[in-house]
Amino acid sequence: MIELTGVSKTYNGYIKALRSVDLRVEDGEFVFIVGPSGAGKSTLLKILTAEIEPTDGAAFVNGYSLVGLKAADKPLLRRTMGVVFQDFRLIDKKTVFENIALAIRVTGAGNREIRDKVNSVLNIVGLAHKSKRKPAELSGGEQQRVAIARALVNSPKLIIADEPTGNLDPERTQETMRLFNQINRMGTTVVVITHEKSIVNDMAKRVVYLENGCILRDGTGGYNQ
Amino acid sequence: MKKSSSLRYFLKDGASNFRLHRVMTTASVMMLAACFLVIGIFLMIFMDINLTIDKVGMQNEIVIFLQDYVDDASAEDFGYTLKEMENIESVTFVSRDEGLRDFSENLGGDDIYNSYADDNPIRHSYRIIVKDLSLIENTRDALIAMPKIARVRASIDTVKAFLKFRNVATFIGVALVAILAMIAAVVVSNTIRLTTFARREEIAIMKMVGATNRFIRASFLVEGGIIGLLAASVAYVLLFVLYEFLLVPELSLVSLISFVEFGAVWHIFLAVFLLAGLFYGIVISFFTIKKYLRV
Repeated sequence: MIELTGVSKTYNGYIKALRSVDLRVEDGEFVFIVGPSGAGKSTLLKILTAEIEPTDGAAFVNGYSLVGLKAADKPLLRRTMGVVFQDFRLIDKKTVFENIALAIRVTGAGNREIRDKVNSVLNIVGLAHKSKRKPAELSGGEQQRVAIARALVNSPKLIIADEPTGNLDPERTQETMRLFNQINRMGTTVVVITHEKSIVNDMAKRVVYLENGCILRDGTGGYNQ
Repeated sequence: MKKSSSLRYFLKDGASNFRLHRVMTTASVMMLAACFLVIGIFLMIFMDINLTIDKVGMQNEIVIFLQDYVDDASAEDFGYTLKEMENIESVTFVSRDEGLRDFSENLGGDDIYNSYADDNPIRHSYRIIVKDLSLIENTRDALIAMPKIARVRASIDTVKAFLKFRNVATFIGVALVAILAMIAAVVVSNTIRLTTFARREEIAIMKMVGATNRFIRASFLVEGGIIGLLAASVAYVLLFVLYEFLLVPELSLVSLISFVEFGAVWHIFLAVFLLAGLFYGIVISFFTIKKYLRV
């Protein structure tokens, strides 16, 4: 669960990226966070993943307070969520299997558990037959599915996707969004940060509209509501 | 994580990363090997100089002359007494007759020998080599105190000057090795920093998926250790080849120099190189990766 109360973020003392944001995302929800460039979406993502701390306010993700979070607790928080990026962020030199396995190996899992879970998520994203390939040998859509599989492998409570379809063609975009929908139906909270109106409008989900660091709208009914 | 499987993973991952980033890691290995090689060659030369100095020093012998009343048999037996003294490496007996023969040969003819053969004025003597030159004064004093000895001849001033020279040489040698080791640390640190910089994205990904600093560090430290061990091995082989097949044959032309046999010190060099390689690789990687872990 995500709970932000009066969260603000100011860079260098004067650049206000977020202004007193209140946001609550319940377990099992599917939420789009939308808005134009410079709206504060990336800052929000960085706060949720504990890359940066809010300047003001209270923020909780999966039971961890993001204000004053100890360095030793950051990995533990990150294991409760999966993050998918526009540029996939896969390690080029590792195979598909190794890329996904990394996310579970860091939790201290043994080899058998790693093998079972990686194979399981590879089946979910339909890439079991390409487990030994390197990312460069895959299409953009396939690379994004590997990134999603990596985000899924620890069975996280929350998946955050930052512009997950930014590098994909319309067909791959639909495929990816179907996958997120499927993951959400399995009980995982999904937060998709995007500025693509079409994918938001195609799915009747909750939409949080951010502009100039403030939440302007929050409800269902498409990008423009 | 289960310890055996995590150790296996880090070793496998370290070896695999070494292979995958072979250009950068090869550069690191070569830089470190070059530094070790320079230090190794310098150490060998330093040891040669020390050996040469020691051999020259050993030529500083003490000569003792026995009292006139000591007869031939007692004079020869006195050698056993001398050998039992502290700091005595070897003794060589020179009888009165041999002494006279040497004396006349030095002066250029048998005439002197023939003139004095029946009334030999030369005393029985011993040439003594000491074990530790720095204790030569004590040894001389102990010899002087013996009643059967009439006179002791020892070049104490020469020995002192020689000891001073050896101390200065040792100091310079140690200082140069320390400086070279520091230069090596800086050079290798920069190379490993470049390697790590090229992989900062990988570190960021590892952090993003929930890896602890310890986990990320372990992976890089294993790699650093492999780089260090490989560099040490390369430097060791090159040192052997250069020393045995280039340095010794070339410098052998200068007859003054004594050479340490590589075969006599190979195990020490191998152990020192491998330990230093491991230490350099791991410690430098540890400090280099530190700044990339602050995410």
